[in-house]
Amino acid sequence: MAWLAIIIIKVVVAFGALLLIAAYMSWMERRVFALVQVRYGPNRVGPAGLLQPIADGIKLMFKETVVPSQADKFVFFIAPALTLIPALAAFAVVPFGDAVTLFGHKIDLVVADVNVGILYIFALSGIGIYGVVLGAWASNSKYPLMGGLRASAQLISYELSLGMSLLGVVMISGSLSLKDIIAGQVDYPFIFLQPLGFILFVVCMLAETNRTPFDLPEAESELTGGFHTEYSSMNFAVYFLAEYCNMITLSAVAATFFLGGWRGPFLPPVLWFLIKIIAFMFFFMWLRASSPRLRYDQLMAFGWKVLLPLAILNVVVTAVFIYLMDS
Amino acid sequence: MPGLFLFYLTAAVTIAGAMGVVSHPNTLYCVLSLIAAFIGLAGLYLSLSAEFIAIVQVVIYAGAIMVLFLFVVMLLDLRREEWIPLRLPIQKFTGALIGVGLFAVILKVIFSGSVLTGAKGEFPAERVSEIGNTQVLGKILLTDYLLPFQAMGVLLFVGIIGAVVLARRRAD
Repeated sequence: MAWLAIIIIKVVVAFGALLLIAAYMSWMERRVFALVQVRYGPNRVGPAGLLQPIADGIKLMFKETVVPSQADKFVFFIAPALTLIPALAAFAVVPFGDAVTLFGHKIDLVVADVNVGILYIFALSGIGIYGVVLGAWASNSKYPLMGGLRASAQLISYELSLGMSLLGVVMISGSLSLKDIIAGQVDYPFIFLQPLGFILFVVCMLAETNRTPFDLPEAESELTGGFHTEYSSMNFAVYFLAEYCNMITLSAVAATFFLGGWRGPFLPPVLWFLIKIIAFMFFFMWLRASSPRLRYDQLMAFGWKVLLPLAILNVVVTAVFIYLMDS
Repeated sequence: MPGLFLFYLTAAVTIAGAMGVVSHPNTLYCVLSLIAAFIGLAGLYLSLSAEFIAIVQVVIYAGAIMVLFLFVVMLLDLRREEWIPLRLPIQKFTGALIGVGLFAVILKVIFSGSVLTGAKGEFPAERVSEIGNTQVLGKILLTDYLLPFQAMGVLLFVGIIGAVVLARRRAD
């Protein structure tokens, strides 16, 4: 039964860590924002405000759950879960460290090494859209509906370029498994071979996670919060956590595909992986603090007329290079 | 028997989903049932160890196409639950007859005990799981079935052009 115990421990540790990091990202976001705006940010609860996420969590748990009177109750309650579950499950195929030997068992530091790993992540991010769309619809209120429509249109459009931008790396390494892709970056990370792919991926990543400058689904000034306007207490917290989990997973994918995953000198692999993820998260926050929002038609035109053609071009150029190198 | 358990679980999800599509009075719940049925179908592919097809099933059908279905339902505001009266009085009877007939045929095949196996090709299941079915599928699609594959691409492309033309005319 050792293998079962190992799997259960891996699942608990990986998802516990993911949720904890997601919660602490809200603290980091507020501190980085404060830094940019020359303020202090939350610094009252615990040293440097480090207990703030826990205090927020307790507060949200004890708040009343308000359900709009015309809402479709069943869909209203399952929608947040439909966003959080795929966001958590997607992390399962991301390797967060090299294989370690503990108590005589060789343990791969990945919850599940699937041979179609990256497609699995895309499948789950596609399912994650439903939580947003259904939550918006079930609220039976006009702002959430507008936010939900925007979110789904945006996610569908940018998912294409997101997938295409990774194809170059898949072609070079010849595998869809994240483990093999990291194994292919022993000498140098793929960012040197796929600079355009990396830039495209980072831009699409911002759009997929509804972050500034692509945060139209939740534009506060026009939609009062977008698809989660009617959500309160823990239901809202679940949406919030799911968003951070998605950001972390996509950061992890970017680190895995372009920056060599957990590979790095001197420090232990897991720490390197964490550093790379946090660097991406900092970039997300920095961008949000310093850039304005796009207009909706600009967003769509940018996705379809700039990003997608560039991503296809990247694939074609990579294919030609691989052919020339082989022959 | 984890494989058999997976089969029964996903088969149950698929059938329950399919029943929901045709029987639920609320259109939105029908769409949700269809999504559940597609995900169950992906699980069935998984139990046949066709991971690539399973994942693509979720990405394309459950992920992309059904979102568009949801869009339509949301925009048309089909919130009311209504029973549309059947057009023909014998509709129910014929439907039941065909259903029972098909089920009888399937039962007969199951209980006849003879398992039909096709000719063994170049890629039997053992070899496919060895090389990984993404590679096998890619290789076959771009060599043996290149022409049908290209023809399908042209067909889809024509479909896209048709959609653009139709949308354009309405905008003018």
